[in-house]
Amino acid sequence: MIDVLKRSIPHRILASLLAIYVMTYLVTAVVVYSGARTSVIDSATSTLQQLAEVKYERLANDIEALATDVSAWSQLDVMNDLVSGDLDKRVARTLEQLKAQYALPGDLYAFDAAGALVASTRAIPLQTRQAIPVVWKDPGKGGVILLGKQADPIGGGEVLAFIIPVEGAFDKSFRIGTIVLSYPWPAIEKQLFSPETGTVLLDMREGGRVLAVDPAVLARRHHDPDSLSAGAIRHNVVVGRSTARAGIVEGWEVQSLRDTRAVTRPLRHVGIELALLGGALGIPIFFLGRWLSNRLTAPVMELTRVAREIADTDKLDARVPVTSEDELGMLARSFNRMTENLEHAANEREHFVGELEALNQSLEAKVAARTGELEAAVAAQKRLIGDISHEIKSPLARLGVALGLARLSRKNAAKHFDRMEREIDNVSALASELLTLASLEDASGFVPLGEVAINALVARIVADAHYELPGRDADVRVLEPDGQVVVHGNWDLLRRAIENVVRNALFYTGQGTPITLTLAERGAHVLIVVTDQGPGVPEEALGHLFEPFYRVDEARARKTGGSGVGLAICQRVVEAHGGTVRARNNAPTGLIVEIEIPRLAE
Amino acid sequence: MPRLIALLVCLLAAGPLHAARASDLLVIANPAAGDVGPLSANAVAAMYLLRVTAWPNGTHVVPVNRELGSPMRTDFTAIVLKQDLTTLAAYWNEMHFKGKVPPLIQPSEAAMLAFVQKVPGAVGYIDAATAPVGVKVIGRFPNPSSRTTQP
Repeated sequence: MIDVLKRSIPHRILASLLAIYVMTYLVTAVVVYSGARTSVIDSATSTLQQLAEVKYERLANDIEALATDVSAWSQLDVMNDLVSGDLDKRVARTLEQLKAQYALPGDLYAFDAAGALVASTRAIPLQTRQAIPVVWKDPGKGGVILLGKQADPIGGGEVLAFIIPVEGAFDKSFRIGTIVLSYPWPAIEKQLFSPETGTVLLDMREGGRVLAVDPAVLARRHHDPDSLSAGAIRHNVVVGRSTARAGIVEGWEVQSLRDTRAVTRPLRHVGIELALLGGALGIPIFFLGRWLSNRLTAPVMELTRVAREIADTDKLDARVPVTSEDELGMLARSFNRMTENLEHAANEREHFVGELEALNQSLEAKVAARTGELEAAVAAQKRLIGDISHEIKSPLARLGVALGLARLSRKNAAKHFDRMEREIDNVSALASELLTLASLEDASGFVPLGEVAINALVARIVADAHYELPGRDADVRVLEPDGQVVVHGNWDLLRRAIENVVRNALFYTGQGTPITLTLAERGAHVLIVVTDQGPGVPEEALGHLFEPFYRVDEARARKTGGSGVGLAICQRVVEAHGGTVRARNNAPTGLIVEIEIPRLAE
Repeated sequence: MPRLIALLVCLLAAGPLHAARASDLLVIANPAAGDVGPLSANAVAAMYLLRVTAWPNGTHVVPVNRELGSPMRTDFTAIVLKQDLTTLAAYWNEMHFKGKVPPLIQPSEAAMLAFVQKVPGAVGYIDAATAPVGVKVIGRFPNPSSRTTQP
């Protein structure tokens, strides 16, 4: 239960409302009930008091009537017979008649002046010479004396005794005897007790001694009469007391008792009705309270739900409906603003993450490309070294053969020496070419640059070719625009690059095959195109033409000579000048090599 | 035994004789009445009619009658009071208005004797056949109607 309350605000509000209601109702009910109870008890006390008064009055009247009667009887003429010892039994007869006539429950005794029993309504043999009991002895004050509840010394049992001195009718001062009426106490009690209330008779002159008590009351009091005495504290009873007044039974007090529970029994209906009313009121209050608590906490619940949804799903687009302008409404608005900010921040983060990823990917691609390049470069390097070794090994082997042949035949020695010289030149040329290539591989930073007139350069190359291959001077043709074509670069390197391409074309074509050297300007570039109509190269070999020592036809290359790095040098030089070199097959046959160099380097 | 029989015989013989003889009427008084000589019938009547209420020594006079209709009362009324019942009734009616009531009644010889014995100043009357024990005889009146007194 406590756990449920701890977990739920609506339940707590509902519980608080119900607690307030229950407390209020309980206090009200208790006040109403106790007020009603007090009033009922007061009214019962008043009723009981009246009853006690009535009973006291009746009792006092009866006892006073008895006293009057007995007093009158004592003055009957016949009582004079007491003097003569009632020899004729007239007194005895009179007493009998009186007892019968008045239906007296007790006994009448007549004593003479000496205190001897003369007559009685009780069958006592006179021979026993019954004397007047001490307690009944008349103190001589005159008038009726009422002796309170006491044991009857003659007849036994509890009695109320009336002592009446009898005076002579002839002489009031002459005492002729005493009449005693012993009135049985049960008769008094019978008259006193009534079924609906408990009655107690107390003698206040004797400190509230209990004279008579209803057996029913006594039974409820655990048969302890002392618990009913005036001094005793009595619980759970409502008491009505008779008021003290003068009279023969002065000092007696009648108390009417009723159990408080019996008095307040009708109130139980009131209590049940109050409880039922409380329950009946509680039901609508419960539902009202539940509705109210749900209504009050609905925004909070909605807020909680949305917050949980955000926490569970990471979706920051959820918003809380703002239903009011109060603190909860402010809370909802603040929450919405917070989620908006969060959403914005999350979007930015995602954006950055995306960018980072793209960067990462591009970086990876670059690294991969770089790695590929490096691997290719390493492979090329390895191949280059292998090729170089091969290229050097072959001339050296031929040199060795020529050396051996020269030793064997002195006659042809000159021819072999020539041969040896040629091989040495080859190796030397190769080394020179390789050095050039290597220097180009490093960087062109330290290469001296200047304005290079391509027309002059081409003219020089063609002149050199004519000199080197005098038989093919008719095949080489130069097409060039009017005026100077100038680029920014290194004369020597550019000469070697273009010369290599031209030489390549010359070497791979037979005599009579025309070679065209076209010079043109295209925008910011200068275009140098070398076109032959030779055999060309297979399409798949086009991409490899500019690699060092790449040969389409190994045997043919051997025959034509050439170091195998000419086109590679050409490419390096052109690239060092910021240009490009491409090769493609000519239609129907032949090869076209295009060199494109920026006119003026930046 | 012979003496007892003789006494019985004597009693049986004397009884009728005694009854037949006129018995005296004794007026008796409590000894507290003091030294009172034999009184005349008139003096006794004065006490019974409440004309005299005290003895010479001052003691209150308490007259006691036998019950109405008894032979002793009839005799006493005739011998001592010397009045008939009608006259007496008229007298007591008159006295009643004065707050005085007729003398007390004792319904038998024994009760009369016992009463007079015990009540100071009491005065009564008995048949002479009854022994006046404990009382003082203050008058003796012959009873002409010799009747046997009934106890």
